[in-house]
Amino acid sequence: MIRLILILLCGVSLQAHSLKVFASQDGDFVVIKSYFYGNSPCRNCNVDIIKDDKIIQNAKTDENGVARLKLMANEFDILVDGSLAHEKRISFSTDTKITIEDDNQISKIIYSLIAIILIFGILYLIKRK
Amino acid sequence: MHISEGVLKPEIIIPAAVVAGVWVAYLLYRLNFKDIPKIACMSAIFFIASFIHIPLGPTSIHLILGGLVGAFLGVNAILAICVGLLLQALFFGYGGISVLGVNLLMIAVPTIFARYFVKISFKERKYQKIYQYICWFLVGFIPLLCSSLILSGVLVLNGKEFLAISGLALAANFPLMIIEGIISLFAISFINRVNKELLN
Repeated sequence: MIRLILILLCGVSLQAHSLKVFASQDGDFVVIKSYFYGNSPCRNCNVDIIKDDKIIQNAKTDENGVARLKLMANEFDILVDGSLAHEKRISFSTDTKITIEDDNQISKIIYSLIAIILIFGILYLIKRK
Repeated sequence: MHISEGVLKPEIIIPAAVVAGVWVAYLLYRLNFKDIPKIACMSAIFFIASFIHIPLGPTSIHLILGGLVGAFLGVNAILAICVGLLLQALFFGYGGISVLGVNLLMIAVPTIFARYFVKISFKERKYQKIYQYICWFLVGFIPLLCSSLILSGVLVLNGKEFLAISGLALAANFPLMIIEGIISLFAISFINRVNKELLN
């Protein structure tokens, strides 16, 4: 009987530091809520969005243990790190059509350099006459 | 260094846009077509330089190289920087179209001093080398100092609530003035060795 009580107590103490993670969709965003057993929010915890074993997005939870990230893929894993080996990884999927904005700086720089050539090229042709 | 849209009052934006517009139009009118390739190259250098960020404590600052542009182009630096600022506003949201005049007067006009420092650096002096190195350092340092002072002045004119930011802007740009001064010193020193004609 004493052994049984001890085993149950150990189970409860382990559960006391377990990390819970829930994810829901809000429009084009995924809202991640994380808390420890007993409703203690996982504050400033690292959140990684993983797709094909690569981290595609990263964020930190706020004071309420909530992180809000723009959807960048239809299927991905969410890994919340509560520190001291308290990690939780869950999978998330959505059918929403994902539109990723072209935020490629290199292409913008190339377009800009082409624009400089065009502007001064036209100016050269006008002035040469 | 760029002032963003929606910050300044129309009383500052409109006169600055008119002055900058008239100045750019006059420079275009008297522009020699032989100078255009050099202006285009310097415009591209100015544009690319703004993407080189230097970490500084919790923030980072980016290069401008306005002094170098001014050293090579003189008053035509205004044209090169005008195109650079326009593209930065259109593609990257740095500054904006409505504040283009203010940003142009703030960043481009002080670069004219750079040409003056290059010119006086070739005058015969007692300690010629040291004198030249000081002048070439000032090519990068002085235009940015003037730009920062104009930025602070514009923010003060905009309202008392910007007083603290204006002081902060001046202090934050001080390390960049030193960095640009050193870059100018090495760049002009190198060009002076390999192709002095470019500086004439």
